[in-house]
This record gives sequence, C-alpha cells and structure tokens, in this order.
Amino acid sequence: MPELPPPEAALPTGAAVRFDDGALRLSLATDIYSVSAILRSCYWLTNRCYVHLAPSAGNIEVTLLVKAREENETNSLAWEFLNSLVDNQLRVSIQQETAAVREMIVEQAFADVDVIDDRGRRVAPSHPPKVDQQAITTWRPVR
Amino acid sequence: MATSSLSEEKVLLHHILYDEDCLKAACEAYKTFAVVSVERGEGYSSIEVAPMPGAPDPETVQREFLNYVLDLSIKKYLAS
Repeated sequence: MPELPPPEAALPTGAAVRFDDGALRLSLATDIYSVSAILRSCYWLTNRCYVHLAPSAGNIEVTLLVKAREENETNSLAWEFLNSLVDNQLRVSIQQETAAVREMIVEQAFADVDVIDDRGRRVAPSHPPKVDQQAITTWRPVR
Repeated sequence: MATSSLSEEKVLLHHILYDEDCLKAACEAYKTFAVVSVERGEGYSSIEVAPMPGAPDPETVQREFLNYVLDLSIKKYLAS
C-alpha cells in the first residue's frame, strides 16, 4: 500500500502544521465540524496518541502526537482522525434531525393516551382523537 | 518551526473543551505521581505538571495527564 502523504502537504495551507517535536496541529472549522463530533473522534484517539485541544477564532485546533513517535504513524492517524470526524459529524447531524421523531416515539410508548395519530402526526392537545364509544361498549359491555 | 502545545511547560485548557470539575478530579488522581499547578484565567486554566522525583519522563507525565483530563471531559460531555 502506498504511503499516505503528510497532511500538511496535502491539506489547504494552514489547515495542518507540523512542529519540531513531531506533533501535528489540525485546524478544524466549527461551522463544518461540531464540538461534539470533534470530541467523539478525539476520544477514539487518546489510547494511541497525545491530544490537546484549543479554540481559535471559529476553529478548534487539535494537536496530535503519536505515542510511538513515528512520523508515518502520525500521518496515518491524522488521516484516520479526519475520516472519523466526517463519520461522527454525520451521526451528530442525523441525531439532531431525528431528535423530534425519537422523542415522539418514546413519548407514545410511555403515554396512556395517543400522542400521535395513525398517520404519525402529533395529536394537538386541543383536538383529542375521537373516541369510538361503541367500540368501548363492545369491548367491555356494561351490564 | 516551534514546538507544539504538547511540549510547552504551561498548557492552557479552555473550559469550553476541558471541564473544570474533570480537571480537579484529574489533579486528585495524579497527586501521587505529580504536582499539578493550576492558575485560573478568564475561560481557561493554565496548568503546569511537575512529576514527582524518579518519574521517567516529565513530558510524558504531562501529556498523559492532558489525555486523562480530556478523556474525563469527553465522557462527561457525552453523558450530559
């Protein structure tokens, strides 16, 4: 497998900076990657490298230094980290987009009365669903 | 080229990323390995880790400490 290029050579200028001590600093724009996605991806890294995070004018700077101290390892970890960021950002976005539906399903599961109708629409509190009195009578006949 | 923040003596931990309670917990957990000095600023804490005599590599102790604070902070963030 061909060696991966160093991120500082392949990414736009300033997006990745290499330091004397072998560490690599990635600048991540928070309007693309949320703090939540960045933290999730960092958590996955801390067993293999040292990580430091710092905010900087609309960005979060992630400094990585591989514990093994091999530059190739830093490069491959940085690329894996960037891929994992995309993955985690997608998960965060889907979680946000589907939050209302998930809440409604859980609410319905624990509710005594219907909070959503049979077409999946939320029942307005002022318009309770019609009760079929005959069905109730049939199901539990009054003697 | 300069050295990275991971090699500096004093490291800034911003509170939007590093939880203050987690920093306190990490200081407590590391008290047998190192003396951690914390100076509180506006929205950040400046920390300096001085390992106890006999520690193999002071830089490694500091970096492991930073990872530990980050781990605790992320766990707290994801659980909230």
